[in-house]
Amino acid sequence: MLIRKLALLLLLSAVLAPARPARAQAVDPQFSEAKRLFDSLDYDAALRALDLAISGLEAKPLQDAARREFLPGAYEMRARSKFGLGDVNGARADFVALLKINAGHALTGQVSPRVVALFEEAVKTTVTSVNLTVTPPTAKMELDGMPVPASSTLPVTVGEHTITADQIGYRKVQQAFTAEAGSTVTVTLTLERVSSVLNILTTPADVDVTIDGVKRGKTAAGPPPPTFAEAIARAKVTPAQVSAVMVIPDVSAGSHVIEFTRDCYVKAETRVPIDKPDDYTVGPIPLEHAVASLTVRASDPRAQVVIDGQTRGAAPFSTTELCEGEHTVELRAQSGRFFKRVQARTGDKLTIDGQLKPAFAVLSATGQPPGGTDLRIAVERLFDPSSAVTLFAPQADQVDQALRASQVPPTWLAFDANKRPLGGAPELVQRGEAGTKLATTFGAQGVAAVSVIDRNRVVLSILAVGSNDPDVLEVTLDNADSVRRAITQLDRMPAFFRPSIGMVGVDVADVAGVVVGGVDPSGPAAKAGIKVGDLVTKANNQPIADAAALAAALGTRKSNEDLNLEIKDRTGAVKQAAVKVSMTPRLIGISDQSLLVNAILVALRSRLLTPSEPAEEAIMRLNLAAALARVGAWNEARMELQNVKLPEGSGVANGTVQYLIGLCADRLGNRADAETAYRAAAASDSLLTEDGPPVRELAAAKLAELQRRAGQ
Amino acid sequence: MKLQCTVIASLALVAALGAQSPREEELARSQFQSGLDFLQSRRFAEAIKDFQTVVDSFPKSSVADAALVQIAMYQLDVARNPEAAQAATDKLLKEYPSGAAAPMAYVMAGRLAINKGRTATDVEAALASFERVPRLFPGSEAVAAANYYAGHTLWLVRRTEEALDRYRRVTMEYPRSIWAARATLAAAVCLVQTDRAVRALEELQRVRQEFPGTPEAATALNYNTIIYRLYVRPPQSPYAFSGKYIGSETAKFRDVVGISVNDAGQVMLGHKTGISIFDAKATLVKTVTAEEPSAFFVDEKGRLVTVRRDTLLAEGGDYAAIAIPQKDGKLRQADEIPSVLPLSNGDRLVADRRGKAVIRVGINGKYLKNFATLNAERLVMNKLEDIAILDRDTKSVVVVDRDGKQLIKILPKGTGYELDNPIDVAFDPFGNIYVLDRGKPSLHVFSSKNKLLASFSMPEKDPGAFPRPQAFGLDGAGRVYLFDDRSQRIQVYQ
Repeated sequence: MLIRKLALLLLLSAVLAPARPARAQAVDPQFSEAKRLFDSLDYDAALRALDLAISGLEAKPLQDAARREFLPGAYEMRARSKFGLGDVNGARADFVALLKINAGHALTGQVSPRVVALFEEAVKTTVTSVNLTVTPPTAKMELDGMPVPASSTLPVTVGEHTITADQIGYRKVQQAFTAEAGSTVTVTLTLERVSSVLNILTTPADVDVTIDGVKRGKTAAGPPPPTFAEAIARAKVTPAQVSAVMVIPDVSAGSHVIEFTRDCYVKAETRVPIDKPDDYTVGPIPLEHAVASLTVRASDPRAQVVIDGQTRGAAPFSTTELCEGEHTVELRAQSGRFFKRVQARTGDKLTIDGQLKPAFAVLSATGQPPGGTDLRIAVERLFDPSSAVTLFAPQADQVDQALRASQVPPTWLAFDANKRPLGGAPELVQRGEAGTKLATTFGAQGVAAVSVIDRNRVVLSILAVGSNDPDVLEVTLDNADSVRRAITQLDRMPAFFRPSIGMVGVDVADVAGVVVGGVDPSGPAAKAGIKVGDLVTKANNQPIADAAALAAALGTRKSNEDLNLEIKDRTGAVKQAAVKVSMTPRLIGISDQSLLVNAILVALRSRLLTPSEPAEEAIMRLNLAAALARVGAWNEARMELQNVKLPEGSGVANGTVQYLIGLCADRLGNRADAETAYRAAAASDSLLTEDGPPVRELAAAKLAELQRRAGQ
Repeated sequence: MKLQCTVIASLALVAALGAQSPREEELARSQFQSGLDFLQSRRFAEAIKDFQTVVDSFPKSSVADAALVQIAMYQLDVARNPEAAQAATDKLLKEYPSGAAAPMAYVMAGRLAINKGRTATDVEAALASFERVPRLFPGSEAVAAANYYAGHTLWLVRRTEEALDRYRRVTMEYPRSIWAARATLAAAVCLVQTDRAVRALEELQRVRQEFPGTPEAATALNYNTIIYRLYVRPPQSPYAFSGKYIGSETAKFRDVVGISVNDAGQVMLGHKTGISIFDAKATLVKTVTAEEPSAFFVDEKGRLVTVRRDTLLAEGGDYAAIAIPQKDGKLRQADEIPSVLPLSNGDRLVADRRGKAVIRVGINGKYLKNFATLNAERLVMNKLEDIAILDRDTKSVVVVDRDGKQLIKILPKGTGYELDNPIDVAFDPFGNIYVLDRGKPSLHVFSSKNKLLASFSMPEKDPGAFPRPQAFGLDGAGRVYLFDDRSQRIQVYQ
């Protein structure tokens, strides 16, 4: 009877025993060899091999997977080998050793009844059973250091054993007991509850959990065990939506605030009162998606949308998944950039119509006390109303990296209001090269820097790609008027044409009307017979009091329209003249220090990307060439001039182009080309700008200078 | 916009927290602004007091150097005290070498150098100081001022083409700066003086267009008017009677000794019983009583000085008696002085009728030296400090430089004119010389190179005719204010 019980127990233990782990390592070679010999019934050789295998396996730690897997089998084979060689006592001893390793071991394969009997005899004297009960039943049990199922009856070898039970929130218990052959020992353990445990569930997973201000980690992907099915069902979510359980042990009594945060989700918070030690299930805590929608449109159809530094596609662009928080929204195209920092709140519907403007990347801020606001961002925001350019501050770490790579000192673009470099600034050309490289790095049309002069007075320096000569702009940051003036200066873009009738009207006191002070011999006024000294008394039948009134009347006319004038000539005779209005080109003053040439440079380059009328394009290129010449980019200026074709004549015309070509060639050391160009200019009636001076005088002076230099 | 204001406010807070003594800075700025306001209304004493307070009490403020510039400019331009101006400039250069006003200190240094004299050394020192400004402060707007004054220096020593070049540089490099307007005005003078008057018209008009409402725009209008009148309008009629009179029909001024018109358009008429002053609307505002003055002038402090016999008597009571040393060592009182000319350094040129000479005296009347041996009826000066002397004996007008060296001589007879009894003379802003002839009642205009530009006379019966002209003056636009003995009023021609 007892044997049957034991057999049943053995069967049960085999069923209930924890599944053997998958082979933790390759089969022990000695074991394999021993088995081969055993299977081939070469018991002598098998015995020798098994001795080696067993001693090797015995040397391993108790928890070693190979030991646990192969040692029982090795003992069994040795026992049967010994039995086969007539060493019954030896076989018996091996069976006992086997059972001490695995009390629930069952013989494998075809076994002779005599071996079975011997084995059963060993079982009888070696194995008994223990009935384990633990409260709570979820506690982890270990018998002699090996995990065993809780609340079960297990085979155990006769002798002294130790059982331990442990669970989070409970005090660990360890108890020794003696198992006697032929009787089942009952061990009952009750764990004492000592602290609370929070089992936290969230939906979704990957949520940061903070308890009482202390971060505890993130919830992992689920699903959680079925024990939480009820809580999940109450939350009306599916298990697939819920995270794995985050177990927080040793939670003290009291009220605890738990915060749940995750990017793009609304922060959740709950308060858990713990009045006695217990397991508390928190959740599943649902987090609400915190997103706004964003639509971005661009003035340039080629613009790419970049959000937080990531390119998201071409404009127009829409997303309904813009997480709550601050973002940078950019539009980037060859023509320029649009840059905006937006604050998105849940449910917002943001629409951005981005006007791309040529952009300067604000890279450096010099003279700023440490720890203050990033002056670059302050400047970016203050100059946001500019209609001509964008100033934006790239991320500080990227700027640091780029500046280091360019090997320029922090003060490389720092100037005072008098345009004196501050600190160790590189030479002009190096500055130009560094500026171009850095602008390209940040996808901008130029770079900028801010230098603190004193208190809240700063100087903004801007340097366009290809320029060697920056512009400086002084601003008092806390003075709205100063900021406005600076923006006005930045936005000042010259007009490229102005209406003209080929004469200059001058104001003279005590004379009613406008005196003709100058007449372009090839212009419309000359063709209408108007001469210097004539008096314009009416325009379009309206009396004209002064030159400003005449200019206003002219301003109402379009190109090729007539302006009807009443003229009194020097003899006093009155005549009528219909004069055709023409749009005469204008050119920026190449020496004009009041222009922010770098801003004009980037604006012109941007405008030239859009096709325009050939005449307008020619004048824009001419102005671009003048701007390039002004910043010392003589080669680029010359290249632009090669694309400019203007007719001969007065005003800004071919002579102007020739003079500028001469300047470029001169600067580039090409004396022959300079001389040719200057001679052409000296023979023309053109002006350097629409208001003069005549290029022939300037060219003549340059030719004389060339000859003087040649003589030297 | 709201974001901008927030940013500005937060930066202001940061700045305020970081400032050393914002209260003191605020006080200094207020005081400085007060000085500027007084300066604007020409209350110079109050203005200087404010500026000096800024310098003495707030030397570390951001406006202390600017206050020193104002002091230096006042001392040079108004008080005519170059030593004090030099002291202020030196202090500025020494104590604020990198301040915002440092560039102007170099400009002042250059101006002071040329103020000392017009020798080659003075000129080079001045130009060198001006040239430091673009070298040391390349982005400063003081570069425009420096180039302007460099041009002015060159013009003073008659290097007109070089001056024009400098002025052109200012207009090309700083077209929006007020110095461009001033440079254009100065360039116009150069162009007129080098026979390119009509070219100046376009450039002057640009001043009116780019700087409307400024004093420079008003000056440009005046210059345009003169150029138009002399070089563009038909030469046979440079003037016409405007129909305006100054003084009432009942006033009956007698023994008129001279007419002067100032920049504000006030007309001063010297006559038997004193000096009558009329405002720009021809209203009599004041009469300074004087017994039979022989001449009058306005001194460097803006005081009216009348001349009677040998004494120069200023408003407020200061006087100077003119005594001339004779060959025998004795002093002779200058008992008939038809004209006195104040010089920029405080000296005076005095026409000594009896001695038939023009003498130079100090501000206190002390005889310094003989200037010219001519029986001067009238003495007038242009911006170059050339002096036109109407010689009563030879009926000619001699123009000399400030050292007395003759430049031109307008003879009594020449091509297109004849002077019968020249009685008065004046310069216009371009240095053209206007001569009033009483013998053949007419007004003749000569260029600075002695070329007749225009002549003007009227038939006796025409309204505004001047059959017995006695004296005249010119305003900024070249209008003629002429006193005629027949009408006994000032008649205005334009």
